[in-house]
Amino acid sequence: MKQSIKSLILFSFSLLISVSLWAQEDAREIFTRATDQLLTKNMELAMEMDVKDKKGRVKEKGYEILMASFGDVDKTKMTWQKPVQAKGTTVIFTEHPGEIGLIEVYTPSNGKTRKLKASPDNKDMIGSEAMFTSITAQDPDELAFMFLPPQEVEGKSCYTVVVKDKEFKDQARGELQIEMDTYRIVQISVYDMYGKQTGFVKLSDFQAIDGPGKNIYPMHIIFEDLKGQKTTDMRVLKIASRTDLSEEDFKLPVEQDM
Amino acid sequence: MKNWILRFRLPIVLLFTGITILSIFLLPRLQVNPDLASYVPDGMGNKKYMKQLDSIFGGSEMVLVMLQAPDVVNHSTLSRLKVLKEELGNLDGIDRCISPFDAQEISIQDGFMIMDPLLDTIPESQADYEVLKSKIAENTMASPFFAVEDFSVVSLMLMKNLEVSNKLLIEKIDSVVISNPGPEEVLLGGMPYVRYSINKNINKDLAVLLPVALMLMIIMLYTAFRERKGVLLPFVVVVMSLILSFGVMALLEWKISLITVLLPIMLIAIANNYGIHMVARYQELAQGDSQLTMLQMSKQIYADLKLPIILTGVTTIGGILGLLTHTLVPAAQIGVLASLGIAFALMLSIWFLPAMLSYLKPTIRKKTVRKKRSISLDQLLIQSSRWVINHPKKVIIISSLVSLLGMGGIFLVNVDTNIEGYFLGKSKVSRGIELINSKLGGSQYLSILFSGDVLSPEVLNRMDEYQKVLLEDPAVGNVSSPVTLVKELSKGFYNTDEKEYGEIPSTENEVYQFIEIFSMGGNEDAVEQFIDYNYENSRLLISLKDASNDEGKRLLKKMQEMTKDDPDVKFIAGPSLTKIELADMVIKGQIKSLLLAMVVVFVLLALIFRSFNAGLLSVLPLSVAILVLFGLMGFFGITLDIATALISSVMIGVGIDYTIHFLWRFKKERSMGIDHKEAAFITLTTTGRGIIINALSVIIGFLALTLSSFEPLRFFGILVVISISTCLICALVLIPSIVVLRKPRFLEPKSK
Repeated sequence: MKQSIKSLILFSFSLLISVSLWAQEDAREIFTRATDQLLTKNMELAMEMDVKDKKGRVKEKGYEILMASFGDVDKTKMTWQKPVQAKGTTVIFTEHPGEIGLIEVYTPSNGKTRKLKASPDNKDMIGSEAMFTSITAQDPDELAFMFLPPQEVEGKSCYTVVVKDKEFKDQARGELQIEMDTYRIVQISVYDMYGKQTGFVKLSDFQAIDGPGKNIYPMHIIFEDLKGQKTTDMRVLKIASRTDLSEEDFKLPVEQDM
Repeated sequence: MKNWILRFRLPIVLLFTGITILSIFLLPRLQVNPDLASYVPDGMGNKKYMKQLDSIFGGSEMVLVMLQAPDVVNHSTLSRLKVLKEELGNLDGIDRCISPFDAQEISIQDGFMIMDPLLDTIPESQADYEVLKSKIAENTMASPFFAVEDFSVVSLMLMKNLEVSNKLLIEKIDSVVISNPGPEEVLLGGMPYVRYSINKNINKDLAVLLPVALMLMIIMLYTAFRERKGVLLPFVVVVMSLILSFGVMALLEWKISLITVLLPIMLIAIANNYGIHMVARYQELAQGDSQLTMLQMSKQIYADLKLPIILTGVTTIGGILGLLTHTLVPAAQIGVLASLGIAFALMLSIWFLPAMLSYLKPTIRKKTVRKKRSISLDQLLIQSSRWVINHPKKVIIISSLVSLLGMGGIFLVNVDTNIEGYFLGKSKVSRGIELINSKLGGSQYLSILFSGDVLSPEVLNRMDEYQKVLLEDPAVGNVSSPVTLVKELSKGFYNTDEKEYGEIPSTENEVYQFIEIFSMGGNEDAVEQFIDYNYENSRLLISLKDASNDEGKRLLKKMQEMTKDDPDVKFIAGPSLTKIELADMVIKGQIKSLLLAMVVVFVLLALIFRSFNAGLLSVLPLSVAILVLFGLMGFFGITLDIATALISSVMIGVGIDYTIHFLWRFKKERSMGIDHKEAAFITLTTTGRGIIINALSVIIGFLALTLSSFEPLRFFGILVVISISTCLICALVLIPSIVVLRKPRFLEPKSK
């Protein structure tokens, strides 16, 4: 699912993290300040979303998501809450550094659990977008950052930062608007190799999250898939920092004979 | 009146020239519309349903890209296909590219559900190719893209964005194909490509047929008159009426369709007739002994020919206006435009030509030249006329027999509006269509729409039953549905020894969860072909190997019978049914326009000769010509289609002229006290010559159509030749026989 929440989260924040690490000095500082305040792992969130297609038809979805890191291993668990026919369906994605990821699926209707080896195609199942991995999978030294003139977003002055691959001659890039006074990322525009805009993310309603890191999180995220002509309007219902998550929390129910 | 015309000859010339120049400025606004569906009014059932289907499942317009080679399962061909898939899928205007590379091989191995793309790795050895072929043949997601019986074709489906023009998209596709060369022949298919080809061929036809028809007309005029004026004046009339008709078309924002190609040919063939009569009369006067000035000759020509030209023009317009009743919008439009063009040509001939002629210098010609040239025609006329007036009963009996024979052929006439039949066998588009129909299950689709709990096992099981029945039908190529998808997905959740393996799940939630998991894998496009966004509607998508109207009707009836008690089936629709509706419209339009044209001609002739019997007699040769025309169509298997359906109105409009000319002159001869046989003989050997030249000019004009890129237009050209010839023979053989035998009162001198 191209517009899944996980996709968005991974795309938005991992992009920023990656970018911030290798940005030029000024940019690095801005990105670090922007990303440091965002909660990106060891967290639990519940969210609902309306996915609207190009004809204006709306599909309601709801997920509970757990994200945690155990050493080098990253795990994400998504459990369907809405619609009712899919309630309880669970997908767990486990990623070891330098290895092919593993996807585990549980379908409550038949009690089956199945494992899949992650591939660039089926990684979409847990929301890793191709455009996200194409940036973060590269050597950070190959990435270049630059500032464009500041822009105003909803009356607030923002830095505009462009991220792109140093080596590639194509026009694939991300453009981010970061509020000057709060260092909040409020907009991300994604362009493909032809320089055509393919996605747009708008983040708002930032709220502080209780926990050790004094993090914040956007409670309202709108993602526009310009190529697929779909809009995902996500509302975070609940978010919490979860430093207590264990690997036990990332296990599927035992397969039952139905 | 004639003095008025000559007194104001300059304003008349300027007025008509001005109208023509204004029309020229409108021409750039002309647009071509090759869309078959637009021929059907919006309110008609299938079109309404098609719109509903499009709104539910997205645009169902697709372009098929086919690679043809002796064996396509090899590294080189599949690699080329993969590159094409990537590049074509990224084109603006392509919503999605569905290809065999999307096909998943779903299985369970070592506890892992394997959902691998079937063609993820393209093998490089012959042995591996054979293994891959077996896998493709067994995989329901991959096999529709291949000609699995011999693997000579592999294809990609490009789902077209409705906003993008066919021309722009096909040109982009062509450009991508050219930039990725290979030994395989690449053919395109699908309705956008068919429409693009129609559009291209319409332009080509207009660019080729128009000059050819004009050239034929020039040759014919020069052969007949042997002087520049004789060519120039009728030519100017035709060109000006052509410009006006197309100018009005642009003004009314009517678009050029396939049958609009007939308009210039009709005008070239018909509109010059009046000018020909004017020039012929001018030559007669110029060859005479009197030393008339051009001004005097112009007055005389106008006085002599005004009435017969108006009469024949009005009857021609009346006949062609019969097309107004046609349900097919372009047919009605062509009726209006042709009538306008002819009316303009009529006005030009009786007003503009004498005015123009008055400015020109007279030509002195020798009588002997014409006499020598036409001696064989005159002799032929004399001999045939003698035979006709001496054997009227035989003529009537033979005509009756021919008509009866024609009636027999009418029952064999087929109506076919299949757009695929428009193209000539050797064209690329025609070969593409043939390839799709013979190897890839057909390019035309029908959908059975289901609404409600479409993921419930009950509905899916019923769909499965319908699918099985339809797959056994010889006209059906492939049937795609959610059932195929769901059964394939179950192979990833169940082991081969479990009874659920490869079956429809037993609960709606399980179906939902299968599809949800599959969709999240980036396969939403594959799902949305059959199930709508909110899982409220689904469909069986049936491709037709045989998309002829007869097979379409039969299959529709079968599907209606099969699903009549199914509460979840909402309707059956598809482009194939549009053709059937179109065929019904063609038949209804044909009957209505034929009747109206006949009534108009009957009334006009009855008024002209002030006799009910005159109307009847005038309609008689047309009736014989219609029986002969449709009889021959039936016997020779020429189908009634959107172009040939116009022929009867054209034939009536044009063919009636010959009868009018004959009756007019015959009556004149009778009024001078000449007996019936002699009057008929004189008429045939004098006016008959003019009638033959007139008919020949029409026939030569329409012959240009035999060079058309469209088969229906070629047949139209041939059928016009047949029908005009029949009208000519009837006017010169049947009508004289009847008047000699029956001595109708309306042709008798008043004193009698």
